[in-house]
Amino acid sequence: MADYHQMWEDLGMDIETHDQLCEVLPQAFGDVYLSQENRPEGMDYFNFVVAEIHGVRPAELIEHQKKGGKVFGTFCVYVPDEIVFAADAIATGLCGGSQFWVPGGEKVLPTNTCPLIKASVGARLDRTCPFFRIADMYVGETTCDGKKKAWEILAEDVPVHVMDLPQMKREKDVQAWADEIRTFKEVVEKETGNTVTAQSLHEAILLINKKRKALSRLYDLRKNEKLPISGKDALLISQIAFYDDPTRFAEMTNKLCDELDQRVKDGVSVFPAGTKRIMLTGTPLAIPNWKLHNLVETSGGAVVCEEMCTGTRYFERLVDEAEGTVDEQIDHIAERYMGINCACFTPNSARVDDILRLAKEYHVDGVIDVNLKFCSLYDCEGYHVEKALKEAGIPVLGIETDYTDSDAQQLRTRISAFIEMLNN
Amino acid sequence: MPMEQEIQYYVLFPNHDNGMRLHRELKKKGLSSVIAPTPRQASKCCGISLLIKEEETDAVKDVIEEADIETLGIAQIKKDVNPNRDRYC
Repeated sequence: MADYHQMWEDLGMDIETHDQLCEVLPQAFGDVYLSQENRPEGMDYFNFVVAEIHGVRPAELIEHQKKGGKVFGTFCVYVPDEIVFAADAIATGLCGGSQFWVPGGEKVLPTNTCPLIKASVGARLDRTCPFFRIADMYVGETTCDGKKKAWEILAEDVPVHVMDLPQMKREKDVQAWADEIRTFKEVVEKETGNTVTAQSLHEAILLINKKRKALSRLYDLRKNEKLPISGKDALLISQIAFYDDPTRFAEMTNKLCDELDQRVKDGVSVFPAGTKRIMLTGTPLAIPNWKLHNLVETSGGAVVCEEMCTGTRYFERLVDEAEGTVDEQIDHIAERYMGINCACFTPNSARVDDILRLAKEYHVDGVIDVNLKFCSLYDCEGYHVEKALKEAGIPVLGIETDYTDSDAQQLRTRISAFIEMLNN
Repeated sequence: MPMEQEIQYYVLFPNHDNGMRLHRELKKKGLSSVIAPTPRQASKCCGISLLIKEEETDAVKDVIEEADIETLGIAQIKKDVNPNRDRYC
Protein backbone atom coordinates (compact mmCIF):
# COMPACT_ATOMS: atom_id res chain seq x y z
CA MET A 1 0.00 0.00 0.00
CA ALA A 2 2.03 2.79 -1.38
CA ASP A 3 1.84 6.21 0.12
CA TYR A 4 0.84 8.68 -2.57
CA HIS A 5 0.02 11.50 -0.17
CA GLN A 6 3.00 13.59 -1.22
CA MET A 7 2.09 13.26 -4.91
CA TRP A 8 -1.54 14.16 -4.21
CA GLU A 9 -0.44 17.12 -2.11
CA ASP A 10 1.84 18.32 -4.90
CA LEU A 11 -1.12 18.06 -7.26
CA GLY A 12 -3.08 20.38 -5.00
CA MET A 13 -5.65 17.73 -4.12
CA ASP A 14 -8.02 17.84 -1.17
CA ILE A 15 -6.49 14.79 0.48
CA GLU A 16 -8.90 14.63 3.39
CA THR A 17 -11.98 14.48 1.17
CA HIS A 18 -10.27 12.16 -1.32
CA ASP A 19 -9.57 9.81 1.56
CA GLN A 20 -13.31 9.15 1.85
CA LEU A 21 -13.15 7.46 -1.55
CA CYS A 22 -10.11 5.43 -0.52
CA GLU A 23 -12.13 4.32 2.47
CA VAL A 24 -15.07 2.83 0.56
CA LEU A 25 -13.31 1.45 -2.52
CA PRO A 26 -11.76 -1.70 -0.98
CA GLN A 27 -15.06 -2.96 0.45
CA ALA A 28 -17.04 -2.24 -2.72
CA PHE A 29 -14.36 -3.92 -4.81
CA GLY A 30 -14.29 -6.88 -2.46
CA ASP A 31 -18.07 -7.29 -2.55
CA VAL A 32 -18.34 -7.03 -6.33
CA TYR A 33 -15.10 -8.62 -7.53
CA LEU A 34 -13.36 -10.67 -4.87
CA SER A 35 -16.62 -12.46 -4.02
CA GLN A 36 -16.48 -14.25 -7.37
CA GLU A 37 -15.48 -17.89 -7.67
CA ASN A 38 -12.97 -19.16 -10.21
CA ARG A 39 -11.89 -15.77 -11.57
CA PRO A 40 -9.25 -15.90 -14.30
CA GLU A 41 -5.74 -15.38 -12.93
CA GLY A 42 -5.19 -12.69 -15.55
CA MET A 43 -7.65 -10.46 -13.68
CA ASP A 44 -4.89 -9.88 -11.14
CA TYR A 45 -3.43 -7.19 -13.38
CA PHE A 46 -6.76 -5.35 -13.45
CA ASN A 47 -7.12 -5.75 -9.67
CA PHE A 48 -3.73 -4.10 -9.44
CA VAL A 49 -4.81 -1.16 -11.62
CA VAL A 50 -7.90 -0.56 -9.48
CA ALA A 51 -6.01 -0.86 -6.20
CA GLU A 52 -3.50 1.72 -7.44
CA ILE A 53 -5.90 3.70 -9.61
CA HIS A 54 -5.05 7.10 -8.18
CA GLY A 55 -1.40 6.20 -7.73
CA VAL A 56 0.54 4.29 -10.35
CA ARG A 57 -0.96 5.72 -13.56
CA PRO A 58 -1.02 9.32 -12.28
CA ALA A 59 2.66 8.89 -11.31
CA GLU A 60 3.43 7.75 -14.86
CA LEU A 61 1.62 10.75 -16.32
CA ILE A 62 3.56 13.09 -14.04
CA GLU A 63 6.80 11.43 -15.12
CA HIS A 64 5.80 12.03 -18.75
CA GLN A 65 5.19 15.71 -17.96
CA LYS A 66 8.57 16.00 -16.22
CA LYS A 67 10.15 14.99 -19.53
CA GLY A 68 8.26 17.78 -21.27
CA GLY A 69 5.29 15.66 -22.40
CA LYS A 70 1.67 16.78 -22.28
CA VAL A 71 -1.46 15.03 -21.02
CA PHE A 72 -4.92 15.50 -22.54
CA GLY A 73 -7.97 14.57 -20.47
CA THR A 74 -10.92 13.30 -22.49
CA PHE A 75 -14.55 12.46 -21.75
CA CYS A 76 -15.91 10.73 -24.81
CA VAL A 77 -15.27 7.90 -27.28
CA TYR A 78 -15.51 10.34 -30.20
CA VAL A 79 -12.29 12.14 -29.28
CA PRO A 80 -9.57 10.50 -31.41
CA ASP A 81 -6.72 9.37 -29.16
CA GLU A 82 -4.67 8.77 -32.32
CA ILE A 83 -4.02 12.51 -32.75
CA VAL A 84 -2.84 12.90 -29.17
CA PHE A 85 -0.45 9.93 -29.22
CA ALA A 86 0.85 10.96 -32.66
CA ALA A 87 2.11 14.16 -31.03
CA ASP A 88 3.97 12.21 -28.32
CA ALA A 89 1.33 13.20 -25.79
CA ILE A 90 -0.92 10.97 -23.66
CA ALA A 91 -4.71 10.87 -23.66
CA THR A 92 -6.41 9.75 -20.48
CA GLY A 93 -9.92 9.30 -19.22
CA LEU A 94 -11.03 11.41 -16.25
CA CYS A 95 -13.03 10.64 -13.10
CA GLY A 96 -16.83 10.53 -13.36
CA GLY A 97 -18.30 7.20 -12.26
CA SER A 98 -18.95 7.65 -8.55
CA GLN A 99 -21.62 9.28 -6.40
CA PHE A 100 -18.69 10.53 -4.31
CA TRP A 101 -18.08 13.30 -6.87
CA VAL A 102 -21.73 14.22 -7.60
CA PRO A 103 -22.40 16.75 -4.78
CA GLY A 104 -19.39 18.79 -5.94
CA GLY A 105 -20.94 19.03 -9.39
CA GLU A 106 -24.32 19.99 -7.98
CA LYS A 107 -22.75 23.10 -6.48
CA VAL A 108 -22.56 24.60 -9.96
CA LEU A 109 -24.86 22.48 -12.14
CA PRO A 110 -28.61 21.93 -11.92
CA THR A 111 -29.55 18.80 -9.96
CA ASN A 112 -31.37 17.48 -13.03
CA THR A 113 -28.08 17.02 -14.89
CA CYS A 114 -26.86 13.49 -15.55
CA PRO A 115 -24.65 12.02 -12.80
CA LEU A 116 -21.74 11.48 -15.20
CA ILE A 117 -21.48 15.20 -15.90
CA LYS A 118 -22.07 16.21 -12.28
CA ALA A 119 -19.44 13.74 -11.07
CA SER A 120 -16.90 14.91 -13.65
CA VAL A 121 -17.30 18.58 -12.76
CA GLY A 122 -17.35 17.77 -9.04
CA ALA A 123 -14.16 15.74 -9.30
CA ARG A 124 -12.40 18.74 -10.83
CA LEU A 125 -13.81 21.51 -8.65
CA ASP A 126 -13.47 19.55 -5.39
CA ARG A 127 -9.86 18.60 -6.28
CA THR A 128 -10.44 14.91 -5.55
CA CYS A 129 -9.26 13.30 -8.80
CA PRO A 130 -5.56 13.16 -9.72
CA PHE A 131 -6.31 12.77 -13.45
CA PHE A 132 -8.24 16.05 -13.45
CA ARG A 133 -5.34 17.74 -11.63
CA ILE A 134 -2.70 16.36 -14.01
CA ALA A 135 -4.25 16.97 -17.45
CA ASP A 136 -2.77 20.01 -19.21
CA MET A 137 -5.88 20.38 -21.32
CA TYR A 138 -9.36 18.85 -21.37
CA VAL A 139 -10.93 17.89 -24.67
CA GLY A 140 -14.71 18.21 -24.69
CA GLU A 141 -17.23 17.56 -27.42
CA THR A 142 -20.80 18.52 -28.28
CA THR A 143 -22.49 15.19 -27.58
CA CYS A 144 -25.10 16.64 -25.21
CA ASP A 145 -26.36 19.94 -23.83
CA GLY A 146 -25.23 19.28 -20.27
CA LYS A 147 -21.67 18.65 -21.36
CA LYS A 148 -21.59 21.77 -23.55
CA LYS A 149 -22.37 23.93 -20.53
CA ALA A 150 -20.04 21.91 -18.28
CA TRP A 151 -17.10 22.75 -20.56
CA GLU A 152 -17.77 26.45 -20.01
CA ILE A 153 -17.58 25.96 -16.25
CA LEU A 154 -14.45 23.82 -16.44
CA ALA A 155 -12.83 26.32 -18.81
CA GLU A 156 -12.80 28.89 -15.99
CA ASP A 157 -10.23 26.64 -14.33
CA VAL A 158 -8.30 24.77 -17.04
CA PRO A 159 -7.77 25.10 -20.83
CA VAL A 160 -10.58 23.25 -22.62
CA HIS A 161 -10.78 22.52 -26.33
CA VAL A 162 -14.24 21.57 -27.55
CA MET A 163 -14.69 19.44 -30.67
CA ASP A 164 -17.89 20.18 -32.59
CA LEU A 165 -19.37 16.76 -33.33
CA PRO A 166 -21.96 16.83 -36.14
CA GLN A 167 -25.37 15.48 -35.14
CA MET A 168 -26.23 13.85 -38.48
CA LYS A 169 -24.34 11.33 -40.59
CA ARG A 170 -24.48 12.70 -44.11
CA GLU A 171 -21.29 12.73 -46.20
CA LYS A 172 -20.82 16.43 -45.46
CA ASP A 173 -21.01 15.64 -41.73
CA VAL A 174 -18.22 13.08 -42.01
CA GLN A 175 -16.15 15.69 -43.84
CA ALA A 176 -16.99 18.26 -41.16
CA TRP A 177 -15.76 15.84 -38.51
CA ALA A 178 -12.53 15.28 -40.47
CA ASP A 179 -12.05 19.08 -40.52
CA GLU A 180 -12.72 19.19 -36.79
CA ILE A 181 -10.02 16.54 -36.28
CA ARG A 182 -7.63 18.68 -38.35
CA THR A 183 -8.33 21.62 -36.06
CA PHE A 184 -7.79 19.34 -33.06
CA LYS A 185 -4.44 18.28 -34.54
CA GLU A 186 -3.38 21.92 -34.72
CA VAL A 187 -4.42 22.50 -31.09
CA VAL A 188 -2.49 19.41 -29.95
CA GLU A 189 0.56 20.43 -31.99
CA LYS A 190 0.51 23.91 -30.46
CA GLU A 191 0.12 22.59 -26.92
CA THR A 192 2.85 19.95 -27.26
CA GLY A 193 5.22 21.76 -29.61
CA ASN A 194 5.36 18.51 -31.62
CA THR A 195 4.30 17.95 -35.20
CA VAL A 196 1.97 15.14 -36.17
CA THR A 197 3.63 13.48 -39.16
CA ALA A 198 2.33 10.83 -41.55
CA GLN A 199 4.64 8.35 -39.84
CA SER A 200 3.71 9.26 -36.24
CA LEU A 201 0.01 9.24 -37.09
CA HIS A 202 0.31 5.85 -38.76
CA GLU A 203 2.04 4.46 -35.67
CA ALA A 204 -0.63 5.96 -33.39
CA ILE A 205 -3.39 4.39 -35.51
CA LEU A 206 -1.69 0.99 -35.16
CA LEU A 207 -1.31 1.56 -31.39
CA ILE A 208 -4.96 2.39 -30.74
CA ASN A 209 -6.14 -0.35 -33.11
CA LYS A 210 -4.12 -2.85 -31.05
CA LYS A 211 -6.15 -1.83 -28.02
CA ARG A 212 -9.39 -2.22 -30.02
CA LYS A 213 -8.30 -5.65 -31.26
CA ALA A 214 -7.55 -6.81 -27.71
CA LEU A 215 -10.98 -5.67 -26.49
CA SER A 216 -12.63 -7.23 -29.51
CA ARG A 217 -10.89 -10.53 -28.73
CA LEU A 218 -12.11 -10.33 -25.13
CA TYR A 219 -15.68 -9.64 -26.22
CA ASP A 220 -15.60 -12.46 -28.80
CA LEU A 221 -14.83 -14.86 -25.95
CA ARG A 222 -18.08 -13.78 -24.30
CA LYS A 223 -19.99 -15.13 -27.29
CA ASN A 224 -19.23 -18.68 -26.14
CA GLU A 225 -21.99 -20.74 -24.60
CA LYS A 226 -19.72 -21.41 -21.63
CA LEU A 227 -18.61 -18.03 -20.37
CA PRO A 228 -14.92 -18.00 -19.39
CA ILE A 229 -15.24 -14.59 -17.70
CA SER A 230 -17.96 -12.71 -15.86
CA GLY A 231 -19.61 -9.58 -17.21
CA LYS A 232 -18.38 -7.52 -14.29
CA ASP A 233 -14.78 -8.51 -14.97
CA ALA A 234 -15.19 -7.62 -18.64
CA LEU A 235 -16.70 -4.27 -17.62
CA LEU A 236 -13.73 -3.54 -15.38
CA ILE A 237 -11.37 -4.14 -18.28
CA SER A 238 -13.40 -1.84 -20.55
CA GLN A 239 -13.34 0.85 -17.89
CA ILE A 240 -9.59 0.57 -17.37
CA ALA A 241 -8.99 0.84 -21.14
CA PHE A 242 -9.70 4.57 -20.87
CA TYR A 243 -6.82 5.19 -18.45
CA ASP A 244 -4.10 2.64 -18.96
CA ASP A 245 -1.03 2.84 -21.17
CA PRO A 246 -2.42 1.48 -24.47
CA THR A 247 0.52 -0.84 -25.20
CA ARG A 248 0.50 -2.38 -21.72
CA PHE A 249 -3.28 -2.61 -21.71
CA ALA A 250 -3.36 -4.52 -25.02
CA GLU A 251 -0.59 -6.83 -23.82
CA MET A 252 -2.30 -7.63 -20.51
CA THR A 253 -5.73 -8.05 -22.10
CA ASN A 254 -4.29 -10.42 -24.72
CA LYS A 255 -2.53 -12.37 -21.98
CA LEU A 256 -5.84 -12.73 -20.16
CA CYS A 257 -7.49 -13.80 -23.43
CA ASP A 258 -4.87 -16.57 -23.84
CA GLU A 259 -6.04 -17.92 -20.49
CA LEU A 260 -9.68 -17.53 -21.52
CA ASP A 261 -9.03 -19.37 -24.79
CA GLN A 262 -7.77 -22.29 -22.73
CA ARG A 263 -10.86 -22.12 -20.52
CA VAL A 264 -13.05 -22.31 -23.60
CA LYS A 265 -11.11 -25.37 -24.82
CA ASP A 266 -11.51 -26.95 -21.38
CA GLY A 267 -15.21 -26.10 -21.25
CA VAL A 268 -14.81 -23.91 -18.14
CA SER A 269 -17.61 -21.49 -17.31
CA VAL A 270 -17.85 -19.03 -14.43
CA PHE A 271 -21.64 -19.40 -14.43
CA PRO A 272 -23.84 -22.48 -13.93
CA ALA A 273 -25.38 -23.95 -17.07
CA GLY A 274 -28.62 -22.23 -18.03
CA THR A 275 -27.69 -18.82 -16.58
CA LYS A 276 -29.60 -16.24 -18.60
CA ARG A 277 -27.51 -14.14 -20.97
CA ILE A 278 -28.15 -10.41 -20.60
CA MET A 279 -26.98 -7.56 -22.80
CA LEU A 280 -26.87 -4.03 -21.41
CA THR A 281 -27.46 -1.14 -23.77
CA GLY A 282 -27.55 2.58 -23.13
CA THR A 283 -25.50 5.17 -21.28
CA PRO A 284 -21.87 4.61 -20.21
CA LEU A 285 -20.73 2.97 -16.97
CA ALA A 286 -17.60 4.85 -15.93
CA ILE A 287 -15.33 3.35 -13.28
CA PRO A 288 -16.22 2.55 -10.44
CA ASN A 289 -19.86 2.18 -11.50
CA TRP A 290 -20.36 -1.57 -11.08
CA LYS A 291 -23.90 -1.51 -9.70
CA LEU A 292 -25.91 -2.91 -12.60
CA HIS A 293 -23.49 -5.69 -13.48
CA ASN A 294 -23.38 -6.77 -9.88
CA LEU A 295 -27.17 -6.71 -9.59
CA VAL A 296 -27.60 -8.79 -12.75
CA GLU A 297 -24.93 -11.29 -11.84
CA THR A 298 -26.22 -11.81 -8.30
CA SER A 299 -29.78 -12.21 -9.59
CA GLY A 300 -29.34 -15.25 -11.81
CA GLY A 301 -28.04 -13.54 -14.95
CA ALA A 302 -24.74 -13.10 -16.76
CA VAL A 303 -23.90 -9.89 -18.61
CA VAL A 304 -22.48 -11.03 -21.96
CA CYS A 305 -22.23 -7.72 -23.82
CA GLU A 306 -22.46 -3.95 -23.32
CA GLU A 307 -23.71 -1.85 -26.22
CA MET A 308 -22.30 1.21 -24.51
CA CYS A 309 -19.42 3.67 -24.70
CA THR A 310 -17.82 1.47 -22.02
CA GLY A 311 -18.35 -1.49 -24.34
CA THR A 312 -18.74 -2.16 -28.04
CA ARG A 313 -18.93 1.50 -29.11
CA TYR A 314 -15.38 1.96 -27.86
CA PHE A 315 -13.66 -0.75 -29.87
CA GLU A 316 -15.79 -2.01 -32.75
CA ARG A 317 -14.37 -1.30 -36.22
CA LEU A 318 -10.74 -0.32 -36.73
CA VAL A 319 -9.28 2.80 -38.29
CA ASP A 320 -8.02 1.91 -41.78
CA GLU A 321 -4.32 1.12 -41.33
CA ALA A 322 -3.30 2.07 -44.88
CA GLU A 323 -0.33 4.42 -44.92
CA GLY A 324 -0.85 7.80 -46.53
CA THR A 325 -0.59 11.52 -45.98
CA VAL A 326 -1.71 13.05 -42.69
CA ASP A 327 -4.86 14.30 -44.44
CA GLU A 328 -5.72 10.89 -45.85
CA GLN A 329 -5.23 9.25 -42.48
CA ILE A 330 -7.40 11.87 -40.79
CA ASP A 331 -10.15 11.00 -43.28
CA HIS A 332 -9.82 7.35 -42.22
CA ILE A 333 -10.02 8.36 -38.55
CA ALA A 334 -13.12 10.48 -39.21
CA GLU A 335 -14.83 7.60 -41.03
CA ARG A 336 -14.19 5.20 -38.15
CA TYR A 337 -15.35 7.57 -35.42
CA MET A 338 -18.45 8.70 -37.31
CA GLY A 339 -19.44 5.03 -37.41
CA ILE A 340 -20.03 5.09 -33.64
CA ASN A 341 -23.75 5.23 -33.00
CA CYS A 342 -24.46 7.64 -30.13
CA ALA A 343 -27.96 8.85 -29.28
CA CYS A 344 -26.83 12.44 -30.00
CA PHE A 345 -27.29 11.71 -33.73
CA THR A 346 -30.53 11.96 -35.65
CA PRO A 347 -31.64 9.68 -37.04
CA ASN A 348 -29.75 6.96 -35.19
CA SER A 349 -31.30 3.79 -36.57
CA ALA A 350 -27.84 2.24 -36.99
CA ARG A 351 -27.69 1.90 -33.19
CA VAL A 352 -30.87 -0.15 -33.22
CA ASP A 353 -29.30 -2.30 -35.97
CA ASP A 354 -26.20 -2.71 -33.76
CA ILE A 355 -28.30 -3.82 -30.79
CA LEU A 356 -30.19 -6.42 -32.83
CA ARG A 357 -26.96 -7.70 -34.38
CA LEU A 358 -25.18 -7.92 -31.01
CA ALA A 359 -28.16 -9.69 -29.43
CA LYS A 360 -27.77 -12.37 -32.07
CA GLU A 361 -23.94 -12.56 -31.94
CA TYR A 362 -23.87 -12.91 -28.15
CA HIS A 363 -26.88 -15.30 -28.01
CA VAL A 364 -28.71 -12.92 -25.71
CA ASP A 365 -31.80 -14.03 -23.78
CA GLY A 366 -32.81 -10.53 -22.71
CA VAL A 367 -31.71 -6.89 -22.93
CA ILE A 368 -31.65 -4.25 -20.22
CA ASP A 369 -31.90 -0.72 -21.60
CA VAL A 370 -30.04 1.40 -19.07
CA ASN A 371 -30.43 5.13 -18.77
CA LEU A 372 -28.49 7.37 -16.46
CA LYS A 373 -31.00 9.74 -14.88
CA PHE A 374 -31.54 12.99 -16.81
CA CYS A 375 -29.90 11.76 -20.02
CA SER A 376 -32.79 12.77 -22.26
CA LEU A 377 -31.06 11.60 -25.46
CA TYR A 378 -30.78 7.94 -24.49
CA ASP A 379 -34.07 8.10 -22.61
CA CYS A 380 -35.95 9.28 -25.72
CA GLU A 381 -34.13 6.83 -27.96
CA GLY A 382 -35.31 4.06 -25.64
CA TYR A 383 -38.63 4.23 -27.48
CA HIS A 384 -37.12 2.95 -30.73
CA VAL A 385 -34.71 0.57 -29.01
CA GLU A 386 -37.37 -1.16 -26.95
CA LYS A 387 -39.87 -1.21 -29.84
CA ALA A 388 -37.35 -2.88 -32.17
CA LEU A 389 -36.37 -5.45 -29.54
CA LYS A 390 -40.00 -6.33 -28.85
CA GLU A 391 -40.64 -6.70 -32.58
CA ALA A 392 -37.64 -9.02 -32.80
CA GLY A 393 -39.05 -11.09 -29.94
CA ILE A 394 -36.22 -10.19 -27.56
CA PRO A 395 -37.42 -9.42 -24.02
CA VAL A 396 -36.33 -5.99 -22.80
CA LEU A 397 -36.36 -4.20 -19.47
CA GLY A 398 -35.95 -0.42 -19.31
CA ILE A 399 -34.14 0.93 -16.27
CA GLU A 400 -33.33 4.45 -15.14
CA THR A 401 -30.76 4.84 -12.41
CA ASP A 402 -27.97 7.00 -11.06
CA TYR A 403 -24.88 6.44 -8.92
CA THR A 404 -26.64 6.24 -5.56
CA ASP A 405 -27.25 2.97 -3.70
CA SER A 406 -30.79 3.98 -2.75
CA ASP A 407 -32.50 2.23 -5.68
CA ALA A 408 -30.38 -0.94 -5.54
CA GLN A 409 -32.94 -3.06 -3.71
CA GLN A 410 -35.75 -1.97 -6.00
CA LEU A 411 -33.59 -2.64 -9.06
CA ARG A 412 -32.62 -6.04 -7.71
CA THR A 413 -36.30 -6.95 -7.42
CA ARG A 414 -37.07 -5.77 -10.96
CA ILE A 415 -34.00 -7.45 -12.49
CA SER A 416 -34.66 -10.71 -10.63
CA ALA A 417 -38.26 -10.70 -11.88
CA PHE A 418 -37.08 -10.00 -15.44
CA ILE A 419 -34.59 -12.88 -15.34
CA GLU A 420 -37.17 -15.13 -13.75
CA MET A 421 -39.53 -14.29 -16.60
CA LEU A 422 -36.84 -15.33 -19.11
CA ASN A 423 -36.87 -18.76 -17.52
CA ASN A 424 -40.55 -19.26 -18.29
CA MET B 1 -23.91 -20.53 18.63
CA PRO B 2 -22.91 -18.22 15.77
CA MET B 3 -20.37 -19.67 13.38
CA GLU B 4 -16.84 -18.45 13.86
CA GLN B 5 -16.05 -15.85 11.22
CA GLU B 6 -13.46 -16.77 8.62
CA ILE B 7 -10.18 -14.88 8.81
CA GLN B 8 -8.46 -13.51 5.71
CA TYR B 9 -4.73 -12.89 5.44
CA TYR B 10 -3.41 -9.83 3.62
CA VAL B 11 0.28 -9.12 3.01
CA LEU B 12 0.87 -5.36 3.21
CA PHE B 13 3.63 -3.43 1.42
CA PRO B 14 5.36 -0.05 1.57
CA ASN B 15 4.96 0.23 -2.23
CA HIS B 16 3.52 -1.69 -5.15
CA ASP B 17 6.92 -2.79 -6.51
CA ASN B 18 7.44 -5.09 -3.54
CA GLY B 19 3.87 -6.32 -3.80
CA MET B 20 4.20 -7.21 -7.47
CA ARG B 21 7.56 -8.87 -6.84
CA LEU B 22 6.07 -11.08 -4.15
CA HIS B 23 3.10 -11.86 -6.39
CA ARG B 24 5.50 -13.11 -9.09
CA GLU B 25 7.62 -15.09 -6.62
CA LEU B 26 4.58 -16.79 -5.10
CA LYS B 27 3.30 -17.72 -8.53
CA LYS B 28 6.65 -19.30 -9.39
CA LYS B 29 6.39 -21.42 -6.23
CA GLY B 30 2.80 -22.41 -6.92
CA LEU B 31 1.48 -20.43 -3.94
CA SER B 32 -1.81 -18.61 -4.21
CA SER B 33 -2.12 -14.82 -3.99
CA VAL B 34 -4.76 -12.41 -5.23
CA ILE B 35 -3.96 -8.74 -5.77
CA ALA B 36 -6.49 -6.66 -3.86
CA PRO B 37 -6.98 -3.09 -2.70
CA THR B 38 -5.69 -2.83 0.87
CA PRO B 39 -8.63 -3.26 3.25
CA ARG B 40 -9.30 -0.20 5.31
CA GLN B 41 -9.14 -2.20 8.53
CA ALA B 42 -5.51 -3.09 7.68
CA SER B 43 -4.25 0.33 6.70
CA LYS B 44 -5.38 3.86 5.87
CA CYS B 45 -3.22 4.02 2.75
CA CYS B 46 -4.60 3.31 -0.72
CA GLY B 47 -2.81 0.69 -2.78
CA ILE B 48 -2.28 -3.01 -3.28
CA SER B 49 -2.03 -5.88 -0.85
CA LEU B 50 -1.91 -9.62 -1.48
CA LEU B 51 -4.67 -11.88 -0.25
CA ILE B 52 -3.12 -15.23 0.62
CA LYS B 53 -4.40 -18.55 1.96
CA GLU B 54 -4.26 -19.25 5.68
CA GLU B 55 -2.60 -22.63 5.17
CA GLU B 56 0.13 -21.02 3.07
CA THR B 57 1.09 -18.15 5.38
CA ASP B 58 4.26 -19.88 6.62
CA ALA B 59 5.33 -20.73 3.08
CA VAL B 60 4.64 -17.12 2.04
CA LYS B 61 6.76 -15.83 4.93
CA ASP B 62 9.61 -18.05 3.73
CA VAL B 63 9.36 -16.61 0.22
CA ILE B 64 9.33 -13.05 1.61
CA GLU B 65 12.55 -13.78 3.46
CA GLU B 66 14.26 -15.70 0.66
CA ALA B 67 13.46 -13.09 -1.98
CA ASP B 68 14.23 -10.23 0.43
CA ILE B 69 10.93 -8.50 -0.15
CA GLU B 70 10.01 -5.52 1.97
CA THR B 71 6.57 -5.89 3.56
CA LEU B 72 4.63 -4.22 6.35
CA GLY B 73 3.56 -7.56 7.74
CA ILE B 74 0.57 -9.83 7.30
CA ALA B 75 -2.75 -8.46 8.52
CA GLN B 76 -5.47 -10.81 9.74
CA ILE B 77 -8.94 -9.51 9.03
CA LYS B 78 -12.37 -11.01 9.58
CA LYS B 79 -13.81 -11.88 6.19
CA ASP B 80 -16.50 -9.39 5.28
CA VAL B 81 -17.36 -9.92 1.62
CA ASN B 82 -21.01 -9.70 0.61
CA PRO B 83 -22.02 -9.31 -3.06
CA ASN B 84 -25.60 -8.55 -1.99
CA ARG B 85 -24.64 -5.68 0.32
CA ASP B 86 -25.36 -3.15 -2.44
CA ARG B 87 -22.99 -0.54 -1.16
CA TYR B 88 -21.14 0.76 -4.15
CA CYS B 89 -18.70 3.63 -4.39
